[in-house]
Amino acid sequence: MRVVDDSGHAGTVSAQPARVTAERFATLVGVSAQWPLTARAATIEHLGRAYTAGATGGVVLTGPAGVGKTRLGEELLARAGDRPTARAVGHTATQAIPLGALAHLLPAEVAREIGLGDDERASLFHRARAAIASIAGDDRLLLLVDDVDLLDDTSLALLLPLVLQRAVFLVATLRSGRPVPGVVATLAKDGHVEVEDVSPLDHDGIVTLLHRVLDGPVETASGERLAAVSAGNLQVLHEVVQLGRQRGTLRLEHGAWRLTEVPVPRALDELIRSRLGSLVGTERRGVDLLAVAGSLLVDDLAELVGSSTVADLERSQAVRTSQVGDHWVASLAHPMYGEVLRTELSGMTERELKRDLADLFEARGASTPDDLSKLAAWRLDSGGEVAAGVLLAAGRLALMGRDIESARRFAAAAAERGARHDASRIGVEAAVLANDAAGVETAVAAVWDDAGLPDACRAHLARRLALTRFALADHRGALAVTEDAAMRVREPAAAAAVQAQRAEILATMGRPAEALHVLDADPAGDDVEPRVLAQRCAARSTAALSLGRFAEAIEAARTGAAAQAALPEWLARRGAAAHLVNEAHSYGYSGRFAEARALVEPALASAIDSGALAAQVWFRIVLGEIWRDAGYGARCLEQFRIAVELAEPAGQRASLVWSWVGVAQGHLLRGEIEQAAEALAGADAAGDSPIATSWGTRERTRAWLHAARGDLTAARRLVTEVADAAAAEGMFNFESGPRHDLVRFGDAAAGAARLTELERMVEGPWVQALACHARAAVADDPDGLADALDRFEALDSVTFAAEVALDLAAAHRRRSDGRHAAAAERRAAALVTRAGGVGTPGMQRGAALVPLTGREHEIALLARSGLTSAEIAARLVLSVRTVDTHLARVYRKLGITGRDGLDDALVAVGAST
Amino acid sequence: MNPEQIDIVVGTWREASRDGQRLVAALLARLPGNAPDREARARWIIDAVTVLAPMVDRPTRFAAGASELVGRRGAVTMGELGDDQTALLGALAELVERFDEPTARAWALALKLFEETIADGCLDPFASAREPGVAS
Repeated sequence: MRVVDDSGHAGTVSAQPARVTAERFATLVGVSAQWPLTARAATIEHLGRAYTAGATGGVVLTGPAGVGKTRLGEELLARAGDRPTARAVGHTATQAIPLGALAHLLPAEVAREIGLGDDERASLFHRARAAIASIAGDDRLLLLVDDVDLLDDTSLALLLPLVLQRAVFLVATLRSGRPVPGVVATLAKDGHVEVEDVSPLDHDGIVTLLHRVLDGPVETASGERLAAVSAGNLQVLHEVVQLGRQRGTLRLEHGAWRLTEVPVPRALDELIRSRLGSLVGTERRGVDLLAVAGSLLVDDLAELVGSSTVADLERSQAVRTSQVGDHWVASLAHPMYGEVLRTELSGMTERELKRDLADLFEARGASTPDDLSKLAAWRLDSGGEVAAGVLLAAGRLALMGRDIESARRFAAAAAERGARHDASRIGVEAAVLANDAAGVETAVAAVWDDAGLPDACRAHLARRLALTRFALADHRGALAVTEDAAMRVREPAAAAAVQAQRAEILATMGRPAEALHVLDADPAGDDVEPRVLAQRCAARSTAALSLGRFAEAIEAARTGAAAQAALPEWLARRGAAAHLVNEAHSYGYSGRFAEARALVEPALASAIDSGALAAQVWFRIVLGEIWRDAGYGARCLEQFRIAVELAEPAGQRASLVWSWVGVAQGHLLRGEIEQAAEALAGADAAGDSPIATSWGTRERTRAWLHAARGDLTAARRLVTEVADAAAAEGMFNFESGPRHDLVRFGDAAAGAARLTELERMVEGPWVQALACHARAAVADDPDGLADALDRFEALDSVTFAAEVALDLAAAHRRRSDGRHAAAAERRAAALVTRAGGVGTPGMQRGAALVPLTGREHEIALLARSGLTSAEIAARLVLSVRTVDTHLARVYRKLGITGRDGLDDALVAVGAST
Repeated sequence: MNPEQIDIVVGTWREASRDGQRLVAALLARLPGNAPDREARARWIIDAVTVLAPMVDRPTRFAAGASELVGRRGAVTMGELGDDQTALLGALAELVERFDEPTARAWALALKLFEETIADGCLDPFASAREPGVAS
């Protein structure tokens, strides 16, 4: 692309395709100093087509200052590809200099002659024309002239032949209201250039631009305010946005950008004050009323200040009127006027203005939602009376617009006027929107003891408060509010909703039997509205899952999903994933890993397609757990790592503890101890999830870490604690894993009996395999171990199968059956390969692959009993050095560093006797 | 767009695209041009919305998602993009159970964002007139 810019630099840069590259694309949509050109694509296309068609010699872009005329021209040049382009700027500083604006386009010898006397001008003119024409070569020069009205006469004269000859395609900008230069007027009159009016961006254009610039959605009211104050002027908008971000009045709140106050740039502020400072009397009152009201029907404004004043204000361009539908509406000539005028109003004046406005609206009737909201706000601000119904309507409207502050204010005022119950719902919703738990508590407490509180309202408040407390892990508080509500509510539908909520809290906090009791005792049963049915099913599937009643959990999850799907689309989306997660868990925990994956993987793909981040997080956690239980460390790690990354952007902080624990588990499966410790620290930092099983899962992982570090005593103590806690709440499904860990950590006797009991309570082949392993380990029974190995392998639980294979090999070796031991070891090796590597403590005692010699075993047992090397040497008639050499080999084979870990290590490899 | 409007767009797109064949048919019935080009164009529209809709809350992510779409579509005119949008809104109105005024409004704003994205990549203002279509 041949380029000449207005700084005087001319040259050639490498040709670029007109098509926007990915790099440029990223710049355009990124948050950059230069905002992306928005809502102007059609104009750019028109300009480009005009150039290509060749019929016209150029386009003059006219419009108010700040609408982006120059930017349009620059964008056209940027997209010109290898077409010749140049740029010139008209300016008062060069207006008196012949060819001053175009000097940088001319060769040095021509430019040097600028300013010569009249005689030389003709020659200079022709040489300049030839020089500019030559820039274009065989093509047409695309020449952007900014502020064409400020070009010097010679430059303007030069443009005439260049445009007429089509040597130049002129893109000129001209501010509205400025005189049109004669040359341009002539070219336009004769059809050699088109005149294109560039209007300020409309509301949607501004909102779209803000969305791109701020890289996120803009709250409706804030978008409207920014569109209004800028009036489509991009310079004003740019400045207001920049100032707003600097001063914190434009900030991201709850996923949307919110403007709390319009910052007025200082220069603009002074200009407006001087412009409006001369208005007095009714004229001043008129603009002040508009500053307070935003806009008013012309008839309303005339009613308050008189028709002649309105006419005077319009004439003086302080106020403008426009037709909206059947009405004429008056507003300040520039919305920024309002921002400045409001700062000058005294409190008393503002109250008087609002009172007058409210009186007027009340007298003529406030019919539209906007009128209602304004009337309510003005009455409150001016200290007048306003009906509770108006305040409630205004409060609901404010909630719809996410105007939390106003919603709360209207709710409080409505409550003062007797509408306490309806107001409490608005207040609670506003507090929920604001993530204000204390606010939810306060709003509910204000009406909770009212005997007349309608049941439906009480059920709604109970649900909101219970969920708020539950999210803060206040399980008892959450349960208490539903129990209290259950005692007070009589109406059947409301009672059913309360019981469903109560059951779900019980199930999720880890009291599954009680949850099922609540569900079964409810006389309404499943004959309830779909939302309540979906919640009942979620509670039932969660409870049944904890108890190990997987068939019941699956059926409830499916019924819940169907009920959820029957809800309106917007409601159906919320919570739909929970049913699928419960169904998948039911398969996974019972050992049906392939079915679990077949359910979750398509759901995850769909969540990725639709950008449902929260669903992605939980689906990945479920998938990670399935891979964990199957013993595939790398795949487990992959899912949990992504879940960690997505947790924050998805707004799912509560998932972080699970995700970090999963990362730690993945590392531990692979024997990566230090990485696991770091991940577990991440889980500790994330805090507890309100879901009951989060503590047990995390502490079980900590036990795994102890075991991996060789501290089997601490590991066994911790898994026993976790298993006992699960048993105490009847969460049998979550008890079986830690009980089996005892077997894996060398104390099969401690886990076997209970696992045999659990086998009768928890459904599915998984717990059967665990119990089978435990019994065989206690009995040191090669046949039983082989059975357990077959069971784990059939379930595709590769890590456990590999560990059992090593146990089996050790059992064979103890019986001096080297052939079967070697076969079991080969099977273990194959399973390890299938898992993509395994580094659990059970595999490290794969020491079993290189067993202790008889002498090593003998010396190890003596060392464990507390004898020193010298004492052992004396007893076995060996040198101390020989004893130490044997001990060093023992330590290496057992994967320990000294006598401290000897006891546990010998237990782990089945060589403790 | 506000967060609720984004929810509406994502949710109604999921609803409309649940039956891919119906969506294609609804678009084909509304797109101008001959049959093979229309089909490619309908599929491109579906792919474009499927890629872009989930990113509406963070438009800076459009760049990565849209580069393949831009490459597939090739040069477009604003008229073609306008036809695409008209066809899409018509198809949505046919397939979405409750395509009310707020839904239409949310889609109008989303399509403006998409249009900017696609136009940034695909619009070549200096291109000569040609038949509309999608690169194979």
